Amino acid sequence: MLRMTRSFAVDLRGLIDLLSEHLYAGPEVYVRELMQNGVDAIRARTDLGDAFSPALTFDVQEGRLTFTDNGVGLSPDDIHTFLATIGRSSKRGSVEFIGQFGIGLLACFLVSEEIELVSRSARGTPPVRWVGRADGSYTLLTGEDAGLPDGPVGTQITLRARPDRAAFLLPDRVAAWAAEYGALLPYPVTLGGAPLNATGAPWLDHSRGEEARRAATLAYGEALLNAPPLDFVDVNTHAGAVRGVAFILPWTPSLDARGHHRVYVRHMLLSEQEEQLTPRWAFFVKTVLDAGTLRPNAARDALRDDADLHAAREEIAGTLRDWLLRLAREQPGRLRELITLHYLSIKALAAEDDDFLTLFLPWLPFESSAGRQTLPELLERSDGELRFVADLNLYRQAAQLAAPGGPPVIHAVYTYDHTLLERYGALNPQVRVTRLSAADLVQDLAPPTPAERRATATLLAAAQDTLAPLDAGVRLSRFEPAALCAMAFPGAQRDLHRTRQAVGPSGGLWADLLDDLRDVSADTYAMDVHFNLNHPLVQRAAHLPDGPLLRRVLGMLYVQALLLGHHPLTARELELLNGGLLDLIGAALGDPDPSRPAPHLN
Amino acid sequence: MTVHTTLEEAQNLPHGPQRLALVEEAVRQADLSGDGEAAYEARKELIYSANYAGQSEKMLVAFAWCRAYLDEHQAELGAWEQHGLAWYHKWVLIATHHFPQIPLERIQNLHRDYADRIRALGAGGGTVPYFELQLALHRGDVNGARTAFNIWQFARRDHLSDCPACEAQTIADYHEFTGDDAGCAAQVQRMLDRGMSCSHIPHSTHGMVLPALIRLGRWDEARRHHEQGRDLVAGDPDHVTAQARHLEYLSLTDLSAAQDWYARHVGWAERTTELDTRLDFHLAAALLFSGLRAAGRDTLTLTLPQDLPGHRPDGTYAAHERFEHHAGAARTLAQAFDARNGLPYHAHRLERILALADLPRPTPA
Repeated sequence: MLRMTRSFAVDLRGLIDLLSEHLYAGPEVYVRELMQNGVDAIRARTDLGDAFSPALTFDVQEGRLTFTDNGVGLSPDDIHTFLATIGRSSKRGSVEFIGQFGIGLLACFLVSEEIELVSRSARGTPPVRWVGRADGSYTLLTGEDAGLPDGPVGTQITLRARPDRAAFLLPDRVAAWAAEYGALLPYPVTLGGAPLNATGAPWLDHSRGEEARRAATLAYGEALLNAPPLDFVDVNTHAGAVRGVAFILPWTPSLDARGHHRVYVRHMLLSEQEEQLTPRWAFFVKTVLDAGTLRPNAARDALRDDADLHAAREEIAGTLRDWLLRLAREQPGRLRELITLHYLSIKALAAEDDDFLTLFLPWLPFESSAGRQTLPELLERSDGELRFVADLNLYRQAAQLAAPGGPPVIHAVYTYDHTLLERYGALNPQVRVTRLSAADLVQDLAPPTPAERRATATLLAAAQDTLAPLDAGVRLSRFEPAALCAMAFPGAQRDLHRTRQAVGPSGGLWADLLDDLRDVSADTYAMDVHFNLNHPLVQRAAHLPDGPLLRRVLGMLYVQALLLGHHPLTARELELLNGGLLDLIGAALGDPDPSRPAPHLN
Repeated sequence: MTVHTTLEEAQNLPHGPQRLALVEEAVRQADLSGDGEAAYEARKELIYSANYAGQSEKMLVAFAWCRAYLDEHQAELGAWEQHGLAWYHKWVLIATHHFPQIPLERIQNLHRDYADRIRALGAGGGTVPYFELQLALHRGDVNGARTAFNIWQFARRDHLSDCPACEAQTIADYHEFTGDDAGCAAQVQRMLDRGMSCSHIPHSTHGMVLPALIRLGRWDEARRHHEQGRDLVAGDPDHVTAQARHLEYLSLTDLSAAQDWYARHVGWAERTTELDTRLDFHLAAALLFSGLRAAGRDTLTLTLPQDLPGHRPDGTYAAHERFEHHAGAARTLAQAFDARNGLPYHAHRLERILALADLPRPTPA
């Protein structure tokens, strides 16, 4: 049996195109990859115990970029290892230094046809010169070969701009990217001799005392937010070795501005929009975090979702929570200010955390029929019961019925409010927390007395007979405000009823499906209308005999109730309105027979 | 506010009750204005928002309305709109599973109607067997599932196929259904390695794989999935099933964390009209309370929502009563589903879930 072993000929160009298209955000990442390699090399040299002053240096002239680090450098063996590793694994973070070095170097092919690397290892091996080309070919010279000067320890990489990528090697742009990626590096990054970074995070600089540190950190925050932050909170976790700050935003962030945090991994920028390391509820802050031991994903644009990340997030959540608790304890005035801007964020945390809820809920505002109020304020006015509505249209009606000075109704349509009220009720069983339905609202209306019932029997029967064909049930009640003739409430399955009518008798499959869904036990009418016996018009109508006039009046009052309640009209209700109006106009103009039958009602 | 500004405002919100409330408001505004096309657009948004808020009964009603409207107004809405609505149509098929009051024959007719419509649009080679597979998985129809799975695997994806992440998770569901827990776990790992995601994935994925990992005794992996998944589904009304899976895991590993998780999620689980997800939660809750009883903790203090059936103002509950409540509700629902589906499948789920407690537990670290 013949056995042959061959290597695949990897088309490096194809691989690079794939990387640039699918893995990397854009060709500019070559700057980041160069710097990351330099940072890793400097750490490796530090780990060796060498005494040196770390530095990263760019030099750009006429489409030719040179990048130098004085890190650990590469030996001839290292070069062979990284050549063997190139393209073998894209799992950043699980490959050792040399493997990562090779993968990072590949990114340079995004802008250059050729990469020249000259390096001398701190381990004392001879210098090496490697020139790789995008077609996969390369030349390797080591010190034993002629012509290599015995330069300082470190690595220098030279790129020449591809004609179509010249814009990515312009000095200004390289400087801007390098400054962005390396802003927190604790040693100088320079381009053409000019410094690009401030060598280190201001919040870690304790050398000039706490006041100076605070001022420098707040200045950083102001530059970051384009406005002075309200304050900042130091972050220092055990898991993931995260150091950084959370700036308290001086505004309420919009939904899409949430979760945009600046995260570095080992001093190198990973993302401006990281959203996993900071807890989701904490959208009252923008964080700038430097993770010492968390790992980036393959594309290096986010953190890898692993147990360390979760543990670090828990710690950060704890830090922010403690800060809020301390504020509540020590500076309640400032907490109040914070709540006016950030109550949503605080509600988001309270919805997840019962202890926090108990402590903070008394401070948080809720919308109600009595305006924006806190729960203690609402409770004061409502005899120990909190009543809320979680449907916009129903809230409108509930608010209409809520008497001034009477128990208010809470508008719990907003995210978290319903959850908070439910949890509050669970934790405080002595306070009744009631979610109102249309049926509950109706229960608050006073039913007629037996005498009234007898006096209005004709009215009720005529109304039921008139409105049942419109899928509306009728009740007579007394309620305030007395100026309302009638109120219409949607039945529990109004939309289903209305859709069933729209789909029509010939709707076939869909009509059958809607019939299946109809809950017969809870089913009444699409709408329920309550005529108000407190209203003079209704009182007068009660004296009319059953006949076309009474039925027309009742029909019109029903449609008016629909309009007042902002309920959409069906075609038949619209027809009723139009017919009724014409009749009234006719009557006003002296129609010979104003009580002629209204055809649309029969 | 006009219909369009309300819709825009809603679309800027994450999925959930608030977004759904705003979309319902937009539908009301559109109906008030009498603008049929705006009412159609608003209801399409309602289909979407209700589907992702775990309120598919509203989705079905809105879809029926849109289907009828589009059939009547094909010319105005344009031919492409048939494709637009067809994308939502598939959710109808899945939603029918939730409601045992919809007879099987109707579901089968809905599948036929769906197949006819999307074939007329030049699609459906894979999608039709894919949804047949979903129905077979729901019914517990082993042969039907196998047949549909094989046809689906050889079919080509098209523009109306379900999203790749959801399809990938269905493969994991199928493996679990056939008893291949290792295959299920491997498929989930593949999905995560590839970073597959959509509105439901990997949120539900981490919970979905827990029972398979528990049965395999792979507790470390189960813990990882629990930790990664719980925050993604906590408090989300669209993830009751995943919440139930996490409750099962906690019931086997940490009874007091399980009680907290239960207290936080039982309110909506008891209210949702999607009865198969409610069944999932009852089953998990039965496991919790049988575990508490087995641990000799019959008297419990729980902070439960006030509108919960059996709520006690003093917060003191007996584990055996809670067990009876959840196991009883699970049996009733299971019976309703099996009667509708014509197969005895859901009735056996309670014993299968309670049997998780008999497996060897992780050794404490």
